[in-house]
Amino acid sequence: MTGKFSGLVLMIFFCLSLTAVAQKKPNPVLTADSLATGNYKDVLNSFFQLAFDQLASPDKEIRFTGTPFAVMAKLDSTFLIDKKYVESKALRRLNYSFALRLDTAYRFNGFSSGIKYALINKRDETVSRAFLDMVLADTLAKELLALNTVIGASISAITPAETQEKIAQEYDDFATGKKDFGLISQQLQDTILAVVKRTESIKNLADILAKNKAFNMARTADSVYQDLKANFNKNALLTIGVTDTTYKDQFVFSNVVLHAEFLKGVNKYAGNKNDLEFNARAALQLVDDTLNAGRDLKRALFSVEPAFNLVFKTKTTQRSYLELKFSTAYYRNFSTLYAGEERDRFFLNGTIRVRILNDIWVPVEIRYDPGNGNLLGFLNVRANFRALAGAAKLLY
Amino acid sequence: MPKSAKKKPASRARSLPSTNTKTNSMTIQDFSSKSLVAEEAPHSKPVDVTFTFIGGIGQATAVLFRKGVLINMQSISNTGSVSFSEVQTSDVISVNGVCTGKAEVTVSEPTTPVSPKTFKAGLMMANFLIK
Repeated sequence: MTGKFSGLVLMIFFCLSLTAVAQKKPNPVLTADSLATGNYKDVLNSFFQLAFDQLASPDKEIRFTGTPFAVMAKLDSTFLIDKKYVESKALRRLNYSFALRLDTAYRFNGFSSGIKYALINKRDETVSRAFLDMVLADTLAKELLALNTVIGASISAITPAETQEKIAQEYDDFATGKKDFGLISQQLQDTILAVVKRTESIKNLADILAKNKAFNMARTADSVYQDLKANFNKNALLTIGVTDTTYKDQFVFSNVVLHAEFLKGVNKYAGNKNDLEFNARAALQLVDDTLNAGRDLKRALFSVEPAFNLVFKTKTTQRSYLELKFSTAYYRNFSTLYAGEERDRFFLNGTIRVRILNDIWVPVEIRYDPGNGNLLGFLNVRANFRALAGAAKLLY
Repeated sequence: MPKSAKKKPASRARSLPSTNTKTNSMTIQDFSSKSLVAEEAPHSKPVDVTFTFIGGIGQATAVLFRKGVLINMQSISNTGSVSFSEVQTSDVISVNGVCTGKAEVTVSEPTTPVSPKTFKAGLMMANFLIK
């Protein structure tokens, strides 16, 4: 038992190590997930996710979730080039999963698999022209781009050539965020101030630059972009899917679940305030009716679970570190009832998700049955992988 | 002769403020936002600016400036190249845009800063001085 538990701990450690390695060389392409909420990543995964579910209960599960796009991009990095990337929208909207179910002694207790497709995904900013237009229409973004243009014009007019080259390089250090405004030469500071003062469209920037020597052009631009992206990522997401589980002694389905899930941010443009997401899930579960001889899928259970997910974010990086999900769940049994079983059941659920590392979440689920007064708890671990860095590097 | 047909006298370009300092000095010539046609010269050369958008989409504009004058301006909204036929040393190609994944900009001639230049998701801002 101790050995098996150690094995599980080792797997978690391996998972953490992979993330740590990935963090050493961050890939700009793949940073989108880090700002997403844990709840969003559970609903639709972008690349890979490894989940250890119900660790403390008799039915444990180790589940791998991925997208065909992640595999295709690993095999052929040209899938990441914009034209193919946009064409592969359907591949990115599809999630598949495989899971091993384990019993209390960590022995094989069945295999499960599933697919999920995002019917509506209005939060994928990477393929949205509307999002590009939104960024380009932002007042501060427009001013920063205009500043870059007028400085380009100024640099082209500088003589002698040595000074021109020096200023061009120094401006690049400023534009890329290597140097704050106060750290560039007085010569370039004066040039920038002179240019912004006489350009009507960027007079706001003139005031900011005059008052704030710590102004960093790249950080300001990034902040504008990330704010707009965070709001865009609160748009609607609707997924449908099917999951199945086999018996441990026979490759026959013991459980089939048809499900649909909807997710949408409630408070768009909340700024630094905590986020609130609405999440609703409906499912039809078909399982073996043990009143009948043999194995079948004649027992139908319907459930619906509307929920609100409260997301606590850090003030500066806007990353969620704690999420509290409150939901109610209604279950309806359409089949013949077993002895002492109720046709309709009602639960109050709560999930606490704690981010322990950039891509590792630990959700703890608590379920309360008001009818019976039972309180149940489940401990899970989620690791989201963004390890397509190698594929992206092949392009260079 | 109708009043509106009167030839407007050429407006005097505004002089730029001096940027001379105690330690450094340079001369900034007047620049204009008026678009002019590039004139062919023996030392002119064609320059391609290639944009590659990775893991997302993007759009960008490349503006060719010479001595403060806008010579040419071209936009692109997919991976590909824009070409400037008459580019001279000391010209600046200003790149502005936005990308949702990663973008790489390559100028076919030596520049300061060096190209290819990579941008992460967000605004793309750079000025390439042609060497």
